Amino acid sequence: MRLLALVVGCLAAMPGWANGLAPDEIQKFLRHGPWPPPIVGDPSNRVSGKAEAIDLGERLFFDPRLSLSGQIACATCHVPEKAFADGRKTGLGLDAVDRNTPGLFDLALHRWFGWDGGQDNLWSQSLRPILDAREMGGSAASVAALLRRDGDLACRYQRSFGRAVGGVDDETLLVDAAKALAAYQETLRSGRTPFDDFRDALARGDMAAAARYPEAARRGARLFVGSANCAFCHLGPAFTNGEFHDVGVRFFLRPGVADPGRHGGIRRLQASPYALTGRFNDDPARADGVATRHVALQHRNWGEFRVPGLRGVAATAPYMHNGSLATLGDVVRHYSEIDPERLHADGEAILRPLFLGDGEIGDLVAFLESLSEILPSRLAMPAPMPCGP
Amino acid sequence: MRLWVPVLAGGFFAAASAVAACPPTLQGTRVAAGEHQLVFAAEPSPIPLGRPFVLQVETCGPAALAKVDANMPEHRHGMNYRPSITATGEGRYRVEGMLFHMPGRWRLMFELGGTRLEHSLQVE
Repeated sequence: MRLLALVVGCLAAMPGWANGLAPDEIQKFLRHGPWPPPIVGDPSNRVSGKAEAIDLGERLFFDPRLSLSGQIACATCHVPEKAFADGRKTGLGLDAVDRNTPGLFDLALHRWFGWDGGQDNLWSQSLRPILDAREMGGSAASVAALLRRDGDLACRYQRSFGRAVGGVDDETLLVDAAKALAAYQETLRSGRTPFDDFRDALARGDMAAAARYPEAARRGARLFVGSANCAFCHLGPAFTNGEFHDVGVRFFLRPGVADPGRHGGIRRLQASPYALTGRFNDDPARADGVATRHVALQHRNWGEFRVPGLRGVAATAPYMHNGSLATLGDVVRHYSEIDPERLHADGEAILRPLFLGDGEIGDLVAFLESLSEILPSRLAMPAPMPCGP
Repeated sequence: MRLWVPVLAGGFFAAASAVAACPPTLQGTRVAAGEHQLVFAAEPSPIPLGRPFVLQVETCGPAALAKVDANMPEHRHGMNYRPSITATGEGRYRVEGMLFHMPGRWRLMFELGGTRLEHSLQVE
């Protein structure tokens, strides 16, 4: 023990070291902030950030009449009290689906949407489950009919989009409903976390404040940016590179049937009328479609799934695209024991087994738990205020 | 190994016939191999991790810029995007669709007159 204390004392005394952290480690921590980032509107959605559209979108989010049965709302699977996930292994709408329901915080920062990135914008992502027969089973005609027959929604539509529903075709009404849903979801932003306090304390050189970050979380953070190499993919303030990887999670759904992951996502994206390259993008310059225009369909995309952001991750169990790992400890153990032979990565050499001990696994879990916000976001249901002149 | 298939913009062949200034006047990083040389500059700079960026390229001499790509030799993977090249005249090109999705050493590769010019850079 005395030897350990001596070593720690020597580390703290080395030039540039602070609280036992090397200068390059501190630089790596700083790259995961600051938080929250600046709010930037979505140029592809002309009602992004517009209060009236956010209000309409919130009401639609909780409205089960968007579904074929009249019983499934967006909020049925994206439950506010469960960080807008559902706690299930895989989702259940009108029927069972094959993938885990992701939470909805910080979507405004995404480049790709869905586990396979089959959508390149939030409004397109918002209309996908409405149209999916297993999820909500709706259609452009059914959504348009709802907006036309419900006087309150029709009034809010007019306030949001500056025109009456009467003269608008079904498909445009569907897309506009999705744009209102997107405007609402953009407001779901995760708050500051104990890690952010630690990171900002390091940024301003306040080592006393940095020392308040729990020791286990600090050890886990050092592993995260260091030897475990988690930050290769879980990078930046949102803890994701926004891209897709095969991490050795089984993608066969049942004998003879595979989830193609990113490969299928790119193919759907390129065929979608609702992509940023299409006519429903409100940005005449299509400048935000650069990734869509250049994304490359490659063989190795098979079995790749989105790298999820890690903010608030403790609240969204179970994990991975198919919900196959129940706890954060299971996730860390998965990477610790990963079999490179199972990867479908065409020679890519990033993932290797970490062979972590139980203490290190606990430290990484403590770090991941420290990415949960200090005060949960305030979630308010829409106020029952009538819309009218 | 990914295929090396660039997307060429419409003005490519017209611009290729114009002989570019030598040495290039673009402010940036100079890369040379054999008789070929070019200068590139990233926008924004430094190159942002995990976000699309643009390369402005100026070549020297009659050869046209035919391909641009990048990979991470240590990781043995390339980009998830296939860049496009637009000739903007007098040996200058705008390369879109670049995105580095991991920190570390990236190798930029330019094909000019049948020669590959390479440049390594660290992205954090």
